[in-house]
Amino acid sequence: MRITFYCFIIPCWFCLLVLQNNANASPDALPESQLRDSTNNQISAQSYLDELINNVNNSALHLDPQWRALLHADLSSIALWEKSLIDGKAFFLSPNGKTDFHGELLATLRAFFATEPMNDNHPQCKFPARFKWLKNKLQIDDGQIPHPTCSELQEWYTALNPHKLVLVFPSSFLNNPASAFGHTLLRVDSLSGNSSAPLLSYAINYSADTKDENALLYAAKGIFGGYEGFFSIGPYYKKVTQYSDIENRDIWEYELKFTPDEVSFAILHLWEILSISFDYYYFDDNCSFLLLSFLNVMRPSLDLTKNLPPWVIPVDSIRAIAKNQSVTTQSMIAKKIFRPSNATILRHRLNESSDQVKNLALDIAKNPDFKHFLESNSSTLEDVEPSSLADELTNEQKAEALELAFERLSYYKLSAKEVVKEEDRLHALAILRERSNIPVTLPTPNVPTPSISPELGHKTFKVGALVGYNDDSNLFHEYNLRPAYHDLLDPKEGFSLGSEIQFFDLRLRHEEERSLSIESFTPLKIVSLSPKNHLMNPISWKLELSFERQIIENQNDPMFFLSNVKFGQSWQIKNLISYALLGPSAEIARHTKSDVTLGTSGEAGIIVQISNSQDLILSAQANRFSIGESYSSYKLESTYRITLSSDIALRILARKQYGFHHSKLETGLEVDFYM
Amino acid sequence: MKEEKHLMKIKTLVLILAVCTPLSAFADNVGQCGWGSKLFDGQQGIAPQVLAVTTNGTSGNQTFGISFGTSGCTQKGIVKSAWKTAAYVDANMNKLARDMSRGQGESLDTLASLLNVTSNDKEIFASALKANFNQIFASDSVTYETVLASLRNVLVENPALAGYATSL
Repeated sequence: MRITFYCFIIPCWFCLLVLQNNANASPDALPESQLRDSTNNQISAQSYLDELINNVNNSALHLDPQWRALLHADLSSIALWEKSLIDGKAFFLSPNGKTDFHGELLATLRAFFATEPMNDNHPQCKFPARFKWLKNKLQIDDGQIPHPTCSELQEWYTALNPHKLVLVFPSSFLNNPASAFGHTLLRVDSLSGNSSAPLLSYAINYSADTKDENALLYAAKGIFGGYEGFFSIGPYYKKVTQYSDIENRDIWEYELKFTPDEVSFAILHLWEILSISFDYYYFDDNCSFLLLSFLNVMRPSLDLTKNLPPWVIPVDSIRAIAKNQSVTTQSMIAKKIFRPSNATILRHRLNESSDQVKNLALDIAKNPDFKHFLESNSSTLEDVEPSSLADELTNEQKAEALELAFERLSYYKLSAKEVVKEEDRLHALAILRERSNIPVTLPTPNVPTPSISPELGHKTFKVGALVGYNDDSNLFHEYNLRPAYHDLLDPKEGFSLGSEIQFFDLRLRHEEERSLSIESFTPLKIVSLSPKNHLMNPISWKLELSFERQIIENQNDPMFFLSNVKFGQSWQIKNLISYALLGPSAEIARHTKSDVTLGTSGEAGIIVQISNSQDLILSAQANRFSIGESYSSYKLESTYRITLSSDIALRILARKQYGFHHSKLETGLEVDFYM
Repeated sequence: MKEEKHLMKIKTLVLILAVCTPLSAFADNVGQCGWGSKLFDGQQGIAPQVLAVTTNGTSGNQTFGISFGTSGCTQKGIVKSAWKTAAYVDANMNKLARDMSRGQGESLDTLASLLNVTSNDKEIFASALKANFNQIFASDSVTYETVLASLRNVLVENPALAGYATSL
């Protein structure tokens, strides 16, 4: 009995004790051997990571252009120190990531080895482009790295199905200064059907979040920073509606030559930067610059953001892509497609339509009760020739008139920002109903594509030299420097007809009585001439802020500051555009009785488009001042321009001015270079 | 009075529930997706968010309005596939109406693409929609739901196009 006790009970009791100890130690305690193994795994994982880190440090991987591109390293001409263009803290895994690219790389590598969370919040899922690049560059062993489930990323990427990138350029829209130079955005096309339905592609857009502030604040903040920029993505059809239909801007679509793998990488990177904030400046780091920075991620060797002029205009960014600076001399543009705006299509159709159809369209558009116009040939317009009663409207004519009428109604009543009136909506619907009843399909309007695309137009910076005579038969020289952008006499190909934007135009003159001095300095001048047509009557306008010389006898032509804005109309008949404008004017000067003189300014002119390379402008300007000082001034000008090559032009001008009881006549020959 | 208030509360509750419970593909989602464009309305629907500072090209709130969030219908700017057609119709009602009345146009072609209409059937599709314009755009207060419902009916009634009705 005693032996049983000692040989059985006590060992059992001892076993129980040991088991209990183990149980107390940890509920799921592994057997010691397994414990040793998992620690070894942790040690090996750590040592593997250490190995990779050593690799990174030894190869100075943080200097790799691809890494710098992924961080959007600032390579602009005014960058003073190494930093990322990105501000948003969520983009950086290390506290000083914005300036410490090495630290950011190490932090990124470490983060990829995190064992939690194993969902979309894991760094591998949040930075898929960085992960893809690092994994490939360091040849990271799949067995050694955690595998989180990035379901949100997967879903998003699959829906996008990226294959091809298209650079989209809505041309300039002068009614808003921010759009004066146009805009650039990207479109992502998928492999399958999007060539036949580009509207279904997605558009990637970079812009500032200005929260609808007033114009002055917007201008100041935009120029000096103070806004944040964001990349966003959405359906392309929304952009087309906004730009083409509502703002009536022509759109150019440039298909880019990036490979599907590169495009895929760009989209992974987009996931990394969506809703992350960037610095935003209107003249630098603006939409065009950031878009190039984004494209750079796909192929850093392109160095797209390097050597860019300080002011990055959208069309200059297209030029940067067109003539890339990499080893190959191929342009990155595969194909260009012109997408005319609603207004452009309408203008084209009006050119092709008969007066009868145009008058009918106007009748339909102006009268909610329009059905009777379609029954007969009658028209309420007085200036129409009475048509023969024997004429009957063909179905084609009725269809054309109804379509044009809808466009006109759309332009005036439906695109308005205020709530659309019920009667106008019913009217529009009635027109469409009537159209649907006519069993005719009209041929698609064949809107001509402009002779050259915008990036092939003359370059942005203008330098000119003029030699001239004044009425004392004295020779003078004049030099012109203008940072941007285009005036009515510059070579017109690639630009919107009738549009002018001048920034900081400087003219220096040297004549006998006066050594080289400022002849004029124009901070801003904008002209927008939109010819009126049968159905549309847009306003033409001109804004001018300028320092000029007053013509006063024996007073050395002192400088004064003028500002005026004029409104009016313009008309186009074949190759002639004429305009008439009128508006208030203010002059600030020291030589007048009062510092500020107020009055009215009127201007009329004709642009004769002699050929693709030759234009002639004749203009007459009259100013009548009555408040502050009472005087009149006039200017008659005639200038002829011939384009010698894509970036060289010649002007011959004659100008007669009447100022303070004194007149001046000048003639000159000017050579302009665009660079 | 109290009973009325109770009734109102119940009615509201029922209404909310009705909107929030997902039923058919597009029946109850005005609230969920934030859509609801009306024909020819200048500023309603998806467009206004884009047009927030509408004339601004490079500035203004150019975010697509739905790009930063994820709702039942979109995810970080991408429209979920179940909603693609509905979203397209909602955002393009004016142009679709215009194209349908003419029997041609890019917006109409794009709708055909969404419904996977083959190139052989495109003409029949366009003419069927034009012939039934008054049915599809029955009034000026149609919404994308009614347009899609009517469109489906038109397709079903046409033997050559009935197969496409299932995409709706």
